[in-house]
Amino acid sequence: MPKSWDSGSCNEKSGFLFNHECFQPPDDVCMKCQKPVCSDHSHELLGRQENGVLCTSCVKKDRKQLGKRQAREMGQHDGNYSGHYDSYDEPYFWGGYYYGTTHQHSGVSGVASDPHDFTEADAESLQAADDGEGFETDMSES
Amino acid sequence: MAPSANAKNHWFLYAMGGGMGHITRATALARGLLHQSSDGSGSTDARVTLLTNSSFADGLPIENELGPRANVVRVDSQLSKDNTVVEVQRAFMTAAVSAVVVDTFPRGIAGELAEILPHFNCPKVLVHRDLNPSYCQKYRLSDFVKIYDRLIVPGEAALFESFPNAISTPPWLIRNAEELLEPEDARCRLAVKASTLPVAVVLGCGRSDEIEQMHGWAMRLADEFTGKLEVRFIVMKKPDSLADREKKLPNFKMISIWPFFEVVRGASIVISGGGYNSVNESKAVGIPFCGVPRKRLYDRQEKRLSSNDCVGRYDELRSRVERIFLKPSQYNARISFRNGVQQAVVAIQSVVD
Repeated sequence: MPKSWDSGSCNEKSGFLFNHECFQPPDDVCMKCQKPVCSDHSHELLGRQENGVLCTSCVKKDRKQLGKRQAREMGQHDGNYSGHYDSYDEPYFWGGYYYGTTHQHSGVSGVASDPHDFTEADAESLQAADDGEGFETDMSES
Repeated sequence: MAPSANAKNHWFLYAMGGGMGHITRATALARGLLHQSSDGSGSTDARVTLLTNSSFADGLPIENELGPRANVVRVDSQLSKDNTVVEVQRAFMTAAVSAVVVDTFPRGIAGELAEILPHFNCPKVLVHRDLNPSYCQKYRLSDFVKIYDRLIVPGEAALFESFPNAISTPPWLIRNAEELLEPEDARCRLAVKASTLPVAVVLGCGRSDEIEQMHGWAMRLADEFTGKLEVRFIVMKKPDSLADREKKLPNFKMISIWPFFEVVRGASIVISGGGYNSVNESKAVGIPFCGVPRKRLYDRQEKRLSSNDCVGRYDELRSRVERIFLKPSQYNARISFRNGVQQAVVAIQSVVD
């Protein structure tokens, strides 16, 4: 059964560490899930609006599947899928498979893992909003 | 240099950091250290100095918890970084101690321990917890923590837990199982003795805006479930903005109790942030828990909460609370858990002996 969306505002929920609601007016509708999204949360397919847009969540889902496919197909072609969407360096995509992709592209996948090294699960925090600024300056933090 | 090996059984606990997490965990450890003598006999001459800059510390009866052999040094939470460092240095220099135990921040909350600790000839112990990887990376903590004689991991996975001098324990709790009040007594402390309704306990902790949010949610729950649910809002430092907001509801009360864990068996569900103590306390006794993961610079609360326990909006909380009406009460279920404090005390003492 299709999910019902609120057509009055952007229905995307996204954030650096925690998802939060976006109250901007919608500019478009995700061609995959029909979610109304604002311009910040819409991503043009193949860089052209006439090809349609996807919401951030659908792009993330696609990207995850692509990452798996990429891993399977490594060595068969250059695996450059990043051109499918308009702006992969947006903060909405920091996290998840960031580490795995980086390792594959830098050709270090054969290196034995260091048990004290960060894992894929840490990638989101490593790319956190303030990029490390603020540590050891705020005495009220925990 | 004040810290030295000739100050037998004097433990310096560095528990700097905001909120109630650091101070509560350090108090739990201090209880263990004070009650455990070096020969295991139970009669002890141990002393503890506990250093905190929590804004909650003024309102917490820490001295009552720990007794006369504890010296609690409260650094003003409003101080600048530079002034905080001065106060920390002063505290270290006026105490002759047998070991330093640092909670969470290997270099100190302001990085000040990076300068101080190398000069200490007493054993150093780090209470090693999960930390923001950016922080670990930026300050090369994997190298820095080698300054510590022992890392103790209190119940949650942490980056350097496999270091040869690291030891993992169950979570540290401020009460042992046998010290928790029985449900009837706990409900009495929560002022619900006359009622047989389930009790939702909402913990007001963290920052002022977070306390306000939890207060608002507690009031809504009380309003929507009048006649079905008692709601207790536990807060140790009430933000000024709440002073005029107390709507009179028959099933809502705002109460100050610390440590809350002592009365946890009076709750049917606990609602809080995603901090170390509230999550681990609820898990220990098996009481339903709802947590709102708060954004912190170092602590990754979202990693602590399972998807079942995690809520982000009031409607999610409401549906979780409704579930307790459907489930048979665990009211008198037997409680049994291991408190990691005892193991931690043994590990700390082993680096001194």
